[in-house]
Amino acid sequence: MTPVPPRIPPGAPAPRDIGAPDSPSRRQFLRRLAVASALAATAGGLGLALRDPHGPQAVPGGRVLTGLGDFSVAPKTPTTPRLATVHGTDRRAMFNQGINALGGMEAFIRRGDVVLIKVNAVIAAPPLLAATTNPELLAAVAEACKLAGAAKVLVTDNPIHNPDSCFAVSGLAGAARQSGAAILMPRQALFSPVSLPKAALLTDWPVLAGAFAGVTKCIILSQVKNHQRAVASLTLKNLYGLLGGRRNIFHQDINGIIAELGRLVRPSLCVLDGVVSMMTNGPTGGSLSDLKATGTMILSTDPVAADAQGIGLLNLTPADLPYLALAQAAGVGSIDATSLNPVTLNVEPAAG
Amino acid sequence: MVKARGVPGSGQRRAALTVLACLAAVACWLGLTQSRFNPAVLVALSPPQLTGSMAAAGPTQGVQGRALATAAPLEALPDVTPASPVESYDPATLSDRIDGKAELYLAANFKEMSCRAFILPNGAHVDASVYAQAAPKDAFAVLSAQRRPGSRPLPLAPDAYATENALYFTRANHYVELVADRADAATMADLERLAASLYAALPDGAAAVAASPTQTPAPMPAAGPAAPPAPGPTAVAAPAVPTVVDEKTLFPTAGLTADSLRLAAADAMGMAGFSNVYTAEYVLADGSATALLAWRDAPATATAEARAFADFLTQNGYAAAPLPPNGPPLPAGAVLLVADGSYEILWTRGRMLAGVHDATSRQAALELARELDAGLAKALAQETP
Repeated sequence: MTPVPPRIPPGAPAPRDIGAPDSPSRRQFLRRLAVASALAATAGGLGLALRDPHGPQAVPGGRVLTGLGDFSVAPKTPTTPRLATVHGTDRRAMFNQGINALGGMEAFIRRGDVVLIKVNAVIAAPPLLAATTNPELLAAVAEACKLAGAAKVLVTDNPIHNPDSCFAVSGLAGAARQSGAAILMPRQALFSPVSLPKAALLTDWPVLAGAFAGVTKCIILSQVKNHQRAVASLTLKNLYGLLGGRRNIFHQDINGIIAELGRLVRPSLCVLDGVVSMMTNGPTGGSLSDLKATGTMILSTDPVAADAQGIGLLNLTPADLPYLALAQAAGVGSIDATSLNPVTLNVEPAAG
Repeated sequence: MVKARGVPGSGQRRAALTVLACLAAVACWLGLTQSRFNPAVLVALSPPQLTGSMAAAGPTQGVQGRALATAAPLEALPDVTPASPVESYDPATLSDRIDGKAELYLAANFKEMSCRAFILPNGAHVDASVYAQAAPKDAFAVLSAQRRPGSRPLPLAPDAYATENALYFTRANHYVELVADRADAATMADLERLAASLYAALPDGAAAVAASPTQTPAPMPAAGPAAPPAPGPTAVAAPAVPTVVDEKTLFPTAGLTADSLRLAAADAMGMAGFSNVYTAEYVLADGSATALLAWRDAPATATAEARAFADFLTQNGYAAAPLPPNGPPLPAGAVLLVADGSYEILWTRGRMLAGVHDATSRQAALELARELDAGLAKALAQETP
């Protein structure tokens, strides 16, 4: 018997396939797909149009910097030492001998230079406690800059305590005043956001960039200290003092941030003061029994090499400072000082 | 009745998969972007608190206007002239005061601190800092972690000591530092007077002690100025009260190096998670060694931690060795581990994890283990389960 097709009223939609009563026709599917695609494209396009890849500026009208500058100085000759280890107790004499070994202050400072000296003024502690850059060293360096023809010598840091107290109690304010240098206090207007290229941590972070305005040379003066979190506070850790904001957040990745700080600025000269080193309970110390006379000062153009040498004063090795390897890998400097033609000097003749 | 559904065509399937792939890609991109650490955003989400709030907000106003208890004792100390307002810090701001050293305090249950500068009668400048930790043992942990070798013990408090220019002590859950900018006899005499005033101004913690579990009677080490007063033998708890043992009192006295008693609040012996471990150093006839004690909440916990520490040592080059038959009668489960010239013995006695760490000879390790366990067996005989 021939099956009888069902009767379809005029104008009614065509029957669908058995088993797929709700399937749209090809035409309907394409139409719906086109509408959905158009909506998705419109939403996506709108999102793209409204997207601000740079985010809000931390300072209205400001711009995000990618670093604080390269102030490095090429050596006079390929054989000129770029690292000097000086033994003694008289900081001024040690600095003078060390800088002479590196080609003299004139090799670093030219007439008319504006020099920024980054000290470690982290807390309001007297020089006796060796928690901050020694004022005698600051005076010696500032005076040498002036003698070499520097037009202006600025001294700065962003301490954790009240800056006025830190510079006054540490003796750094007095030393700067006596040597003709000017203290640049870390007022808010001097901080600008910095995003280091390919940085994991230093992105859109407020940094004491205003202190570098017009600066042509940069010298880092650091104190050798034990550090509870970073193992040691030497040259690279001293750069932490250029950060603003709630920088203690970086303690969670202390090695990463110190390595990135090495890329923040390329100094002209680093001076690491280990005449007296804080062996324990750093970085603030407090007791004279935390200190040890280690009678050494290291001068170098390479902060990584300076720190790799200086860590020995704390009876440790470069392997104890993971940030040194990270900084070296980032091209900040070299742990192995051989290529720097290092020299060792003694300021005072050996006893006996 | 189940409604039959149509089978999508290959074109539909491809289109659907394409849309899903696009959505998955967007989700991945969002996840990747969100996972990137942007400290600036983190800081923006939790704006910095005002640190070191000054007394301008009130004599004992501290962080964000809260009155901090540690500020009060610094308000009116006799015979000294305040040289600064009181500043106060909480766990979120402590590093703004003491930088990288904050981790040491935070690991030992830091609560708050206040500090103030004073001028002593002889003109010396003094920074006084009062830290409040959660409990007296936490205060001892921060004191002992920073104890300066060769320092001079003071009668002021059981743990008090002085260096050439500074003075340190604890009272109850408070740890106090007084640091002068001079190192002379007159300054130190003034500093000791200031310390006595400050000690008297601090709460003695009697309320907290009264509310805490009773301590077992235990012998006091006779040697070492760091030894705290021994609780009297009448301080035995009622049977229903869980007992807490003061590990500090359980170290043998023979050969104990003065000032060497320490409490590692976290990551003791370099092992992550190994917390609240007391150590004391010894110089014995056959070499030097460190004794360790850690009281745990249950015997099983003590056993598990002893095993974990043994595993940690094994991963770091130690190998198990048999305990000699003529050695100390240690509880079952005691292990001896040996590496190049270094000997470790670990065991548990009830809830107490005990051990000898880094002994320079097998004989020294066994001798110290014998002495330590004999004292433990005697002291813990009255332990309430």
